[in-house]
Amino acid sequence: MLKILNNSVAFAVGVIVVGFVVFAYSASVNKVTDFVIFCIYVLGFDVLYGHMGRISFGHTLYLGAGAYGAAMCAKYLVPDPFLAMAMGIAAGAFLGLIIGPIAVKTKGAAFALINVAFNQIGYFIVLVALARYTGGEDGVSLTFNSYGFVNFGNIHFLFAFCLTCLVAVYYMMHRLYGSAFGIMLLGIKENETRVRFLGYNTSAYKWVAFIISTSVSAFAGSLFVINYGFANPGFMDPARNVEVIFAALIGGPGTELGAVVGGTAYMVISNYLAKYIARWEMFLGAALLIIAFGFRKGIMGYVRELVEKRIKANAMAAEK
Amino acid sequence: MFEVIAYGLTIGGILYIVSIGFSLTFGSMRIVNFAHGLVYAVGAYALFALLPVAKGNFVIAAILAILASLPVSYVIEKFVIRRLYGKSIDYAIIASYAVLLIGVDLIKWIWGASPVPISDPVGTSVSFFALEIPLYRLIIIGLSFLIFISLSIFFKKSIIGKIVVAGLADREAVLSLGIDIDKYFAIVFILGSALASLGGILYGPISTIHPYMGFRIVTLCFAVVIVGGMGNLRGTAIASYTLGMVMAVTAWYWGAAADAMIFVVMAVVLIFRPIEL
Amino acid sequence: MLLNVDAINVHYGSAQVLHDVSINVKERELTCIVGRNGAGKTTLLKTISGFLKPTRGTVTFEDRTISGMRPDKVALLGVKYVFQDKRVFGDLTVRDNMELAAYPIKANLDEAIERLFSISGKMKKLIDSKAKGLSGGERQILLIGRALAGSPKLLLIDEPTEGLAAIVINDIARILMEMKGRLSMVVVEQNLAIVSRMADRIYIMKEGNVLREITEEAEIRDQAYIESLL
Repeated sequence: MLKILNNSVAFAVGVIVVGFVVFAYSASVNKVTDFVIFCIYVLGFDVLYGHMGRISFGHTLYLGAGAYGAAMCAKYLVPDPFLAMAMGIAAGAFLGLIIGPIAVKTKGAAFALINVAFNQIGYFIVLVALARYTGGEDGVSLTFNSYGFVNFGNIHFLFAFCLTCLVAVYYMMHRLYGSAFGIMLLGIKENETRVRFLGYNTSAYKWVAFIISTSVSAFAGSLFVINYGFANPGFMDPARNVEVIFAALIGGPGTELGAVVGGTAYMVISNYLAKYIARWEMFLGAALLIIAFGFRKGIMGYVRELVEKRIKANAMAAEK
Repeated sequence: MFEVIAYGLTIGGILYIVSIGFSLTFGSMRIVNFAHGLVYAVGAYALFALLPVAKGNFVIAAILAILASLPVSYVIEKFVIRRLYGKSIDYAIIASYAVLLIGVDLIKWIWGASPVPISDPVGTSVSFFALEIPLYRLIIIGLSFLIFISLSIFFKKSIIGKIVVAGLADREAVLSLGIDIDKYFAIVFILGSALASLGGILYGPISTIHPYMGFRIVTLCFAVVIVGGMGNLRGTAIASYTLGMVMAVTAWYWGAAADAMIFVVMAVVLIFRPIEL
Repeated sequence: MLLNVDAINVHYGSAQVLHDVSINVKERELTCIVGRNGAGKTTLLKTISGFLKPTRGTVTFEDRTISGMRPDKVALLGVKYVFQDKRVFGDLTVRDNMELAAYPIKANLDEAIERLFSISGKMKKLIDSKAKGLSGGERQILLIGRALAGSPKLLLIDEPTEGLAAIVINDIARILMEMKGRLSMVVVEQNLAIVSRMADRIYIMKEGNVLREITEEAEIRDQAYIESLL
């Protein structure tokens, strides 16, 4: 059973696809598309958190960069959705490229803060400084071109496209983490000094991981813009960082499935729980506290432990 | 021109009062204590709540407000910081962030999400080189200098202060002398928190208070600590006043950019002096 | 037996650094630990003083188990650890450094300062200077003076002569010889000449193991012999 969970990407992907399709068509296709895109965002965040052990409190910068990269492209160049996505990713990658060298030299508290600083600067830029182009607080509304059946205005197509992107990113992450590069990242997370002493340029690896993280997050941002049809500073709002941090934590940092589970969990909570519990943000804070104190491995970690216990119990029973 | 300087020193003074506690916690425990912003907000809101109790007397209300915030910081220290510090700094940061979240929401619940005004307790202005500067602002500047001097004496002359200075530089050596350094760091934490609530109290009448003020001040504290150095008392003072001036000057030309400019300075400092933690 | 280290195993994460290390320290003896870099000597001292916890085995001081105790509690029992690298509290004065040393054990500060002066008259002039201005040798003397506050029973000293000029090394060696007989010491030292001169007992460590214990005076005084064993 654990083997299936661990090794079969196909199984996990199957679960994800089936799960989301069922969810979308029993609840709301629009909303679930949102969830799917958010999961991509969490996957991007988790590169840094789960796999490199660095927590960033300013990741909405990259989500917003992707959003505005796509929006500006659509508004001032050509409203082609694919070009917009490319521009969004490019924006995220570019930020990762220039902020990376500064950020990856640090860890822990310093890393968290540096990202906050850049997040605040970015937020100011889109909210005020370049308001003439970005529309300031109101943001910009957009419509994208459609080409035959490739019509992002069609919610079914949009959903299918986003779900496909999620699967693609998921698979990419899976391959990445299983590769030599991924193992290197784990080594750095565990004990960077030792890896450095083995002769590896850890800063270069961290930089690359940083760029991957920002690019994937930016990609999610561009998808959000295509989904909503607008971009506003809320995408880059520093206060909203708690969303992705919570999602990564509750799902279980360090696993791709955990990122998806966490992302879905957060989205479900914020969309549905908010209807029933007025003070759901307090609930979020309390949940974060509980996680920090006792539930560190998140849902996937917990599931993994349960399954491992069951396997051990079975093995011991078999021995008798 | 003098108005800008006065404003800059006022903001700088408040930044210093609030940041010093944050810097000490950061320097001693390497924890980014987001909850520091909560104590700041609690100070301000406690002032607002207690002013009627104190029959409008600002000083009494301020003292009561600081006292009211002490249990909050004590609980944070005992149940969050101490539990997680040393075991996992990342989770301590997350937990402190969670505390701030919960606290902010509680404040919203009790007092609502709209900003609340507190009137200038002094009300009079002083004429200075043909300009009118509110006396209250001068009091703040004076108080911040007073606190700076007091803290300098404290850390240079008192045994607790010397232990903390030593502990900030070399925790293990202090332990090897038989001193339970964590106990002293806890004392410093409470002191820093009391100062944070004082900062919130002082800031109230300058602007309106709102539930999210805690988030804002914490991010500004980050900048001060990065620019001034963690746990570095003099550095925190210099950085506070400098950044206060940056804010004032920026606000003069482009009001909305004041906060963001601080982060630009912070980013520039980081590029030329990357911190290794 | 003043201090007994009984088959301790110490890990850094999953890497094992000490394997079944046992040493004995008798009252008023100067025990030296020698070995190449990475042999685990500092790890041993850190474990005795409480900065590290053994995964297996015990450390007993005066018939009391101290393994697993917090380092400040161990210090209060009379076991003082003098770190490598001559780290002093640079921003504080020499006097302040001594004050911090005397404070937790409620020792008499003036007495402690007098003892510092008796070890080295040089410190009289430096008493009110900031410690960061002191030379390597002066720092080491200050560290020893700090550790001696309150008359400890056991001193753990890590590489006291490292990085010092020959004349200064002689100073330090003289100080340690003078302290012999008044209290017990465990000294990690790479300078074998000093070791041969002052040790009452030598433990040779290699790669986290204790290779040999040398108690015969003739063997101790034979520096070449000790060197051959490393």
